[in-house]
Amino acid sequence: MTDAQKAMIDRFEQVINSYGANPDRWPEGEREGLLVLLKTHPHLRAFVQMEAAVDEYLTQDLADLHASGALTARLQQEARRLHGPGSFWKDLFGGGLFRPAAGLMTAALLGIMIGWYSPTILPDDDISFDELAISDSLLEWEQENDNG
Amino acid sequence: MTETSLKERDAKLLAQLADGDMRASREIMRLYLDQAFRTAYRITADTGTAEDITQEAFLKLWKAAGKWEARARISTWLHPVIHNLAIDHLRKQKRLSGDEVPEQEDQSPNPFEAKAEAELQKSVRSGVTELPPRQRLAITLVHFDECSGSEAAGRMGITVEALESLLSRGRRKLKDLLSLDQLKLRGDGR
Repeated sequence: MTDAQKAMIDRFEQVINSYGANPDRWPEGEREGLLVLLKTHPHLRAFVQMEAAVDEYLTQDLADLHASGALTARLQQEARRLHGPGSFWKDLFGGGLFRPAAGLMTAALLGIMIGWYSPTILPDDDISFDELAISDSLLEWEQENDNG
Repeated sequence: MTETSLKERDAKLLAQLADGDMRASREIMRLYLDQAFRTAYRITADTGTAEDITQEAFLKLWKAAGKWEARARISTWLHPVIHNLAIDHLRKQKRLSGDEVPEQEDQSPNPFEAKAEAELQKSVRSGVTELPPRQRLAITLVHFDECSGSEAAGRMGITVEALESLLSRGRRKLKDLLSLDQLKLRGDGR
């Protein structure tokens, strides 16, 4: 066996030890040469069979593992939040860009509504300063001072 | 189904989702969620972290739904996102700094998490999660997610030679585990 052949067989072993028995996973540039080598050196099939067993073991790895119902529910909720009914308005006012404007608008609307439905908050327009000045409590205070 | 029709199906599902059809999101999860979660779990070997990573990746997918074009399948888009999130996670834990660095002790999980993890370990068989993080990541990229050697090396930020070394060491350990499993099976069969 020449040194070149020996080097090629070493490389073959290195490739199947790394990538396994399936030639689709072998480096593309080396694949063809390695397949030819496999045909001309049948004893290399033993290595391939051993690696095929590891590939099979890997294929079964975690085959029974499934995402939890809680994760599925959370993702469904996120999908509804982003794309479900009403998400446009949520995006507009809850998404950050228009949030301050939405806050101001809400405050202004609230102010108008309070003003409209609660007119008694403001004093009557026809009340005069004199009326206030001669209210009972003020008169009593003045009289007390005079007496004193 | 051909690759093109699969791409078109995925694009249609995402367009339906963007239009507010929640059945589309359920169908996407039926098709891709378990696979995505398995990838995240294989790399991180931790249920809670794998759930967080899967959730973040799907959230990115939901956000991309309105702009999606039928150029790739969902899985082709989703898996690199999961790899990057998982690699970031391992880097934060400094588990990718060197292969010879001993495994760090995990922070103690709360009793509920510990119980869930123990039940999971009982119910699923995994040799990959018993490997060191870098070997785990290399095998996940090449064996499960169909990356070529150079693609996988690029994602991990290492040379192809270093990747092959990680792969062969990982597979050697799996062979040992496989022999152990076969011995156990023979023992149980007696």
